[in-house]
Amino acid sequence: MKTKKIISALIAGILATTAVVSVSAATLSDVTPENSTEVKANIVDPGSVSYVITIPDTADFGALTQPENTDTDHYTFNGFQVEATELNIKSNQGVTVYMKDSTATDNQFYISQKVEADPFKIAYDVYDTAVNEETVGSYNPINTTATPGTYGYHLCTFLAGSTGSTQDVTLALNQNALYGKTLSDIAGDYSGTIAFHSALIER
Amino acid sequence: MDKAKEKSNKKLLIIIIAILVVAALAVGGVVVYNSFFAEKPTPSNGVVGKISDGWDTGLEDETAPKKTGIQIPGYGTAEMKAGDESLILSIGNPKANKCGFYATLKLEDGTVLYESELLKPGYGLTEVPLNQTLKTGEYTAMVVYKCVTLDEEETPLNSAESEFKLIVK
Repeated sequence: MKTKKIISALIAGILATTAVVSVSAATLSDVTPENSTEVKANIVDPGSVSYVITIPDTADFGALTQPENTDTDHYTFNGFQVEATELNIKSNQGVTVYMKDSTATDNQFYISQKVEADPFKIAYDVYDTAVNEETVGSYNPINTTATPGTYGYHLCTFLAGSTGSTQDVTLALNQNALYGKTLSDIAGDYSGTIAFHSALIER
Repeated sequence: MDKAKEKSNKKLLIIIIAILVVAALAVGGVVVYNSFFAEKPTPSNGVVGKISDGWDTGLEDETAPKKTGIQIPGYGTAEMKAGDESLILSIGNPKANKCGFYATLKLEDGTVLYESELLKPGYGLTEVPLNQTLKTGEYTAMVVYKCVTLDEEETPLNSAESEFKLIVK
């Protein structure tokens, strides 16, 4: 009888200890449990991300071809979209986007030879719409008609509620710029980079 | 007979006590290990200059990139007190990207307040240590995201600036 009492007391003690450990672990954990219900509010704290835009990786025209004449234009195109991937902004706000060449100082856009100490540069035009060989003559490039600001040419403004909307952009390079050049001088890989600038504005 | 039974009971008691003692030691060992030796969860917020690998924009689930391109975070405002040596600002590289970021926090006049090391996709920080303190006022600031390939060459890609209003109280 006495033995049973002692055993019961010991088991009770052990079980009580285990229970305390479990409660302690639950109380002290600072990790949010998975599958928990999270209350979200459309309030953006200062310093948090208000929006996300998606820009292209590079200004890449692929392989260029030296034309045999300049009687006609010999365009090659690079089309892409700038997207308002996420917009968590007030209804009276918008995200305005500008673009400029990363290195040019004359407000124009260029690709240049990689590696070369004195690289050959080729200018290209920027259209704020989708154009191709048939339609390019119907539009004016923004780098020849618009007035650039500090951050380049205004491309678009994504208004609140337009998450997922896109702005078409076409880079058009007239390969006539290669006409008459010595191939050995201009051969190689070309690349260029664009700097995009975004800011939140009130409407 | 009674003595034999009592002896048997004592033996049983000793065995049970031994088992319980071992169990208690095991539980105690687990508690001690968890308290002093277990790896603590990596904090992702609130540590000045701490670049964590759990950074996200806080806007949506970024596990599945929708399209090609580079996702760039943008900001509305940020606030701090005059003399503060850090700024609460969520700077980072969205998980969906396939390139690296070098982030620079600067004022419109070119004053550089912070420059990051290479931020791989999913890496970022939420409290930025500043190179200098600022006086009370409203500043136009921006985070310049210089994008590079993730290989050894770190070839420059297109870049982006996210402008915002920095309010110093």
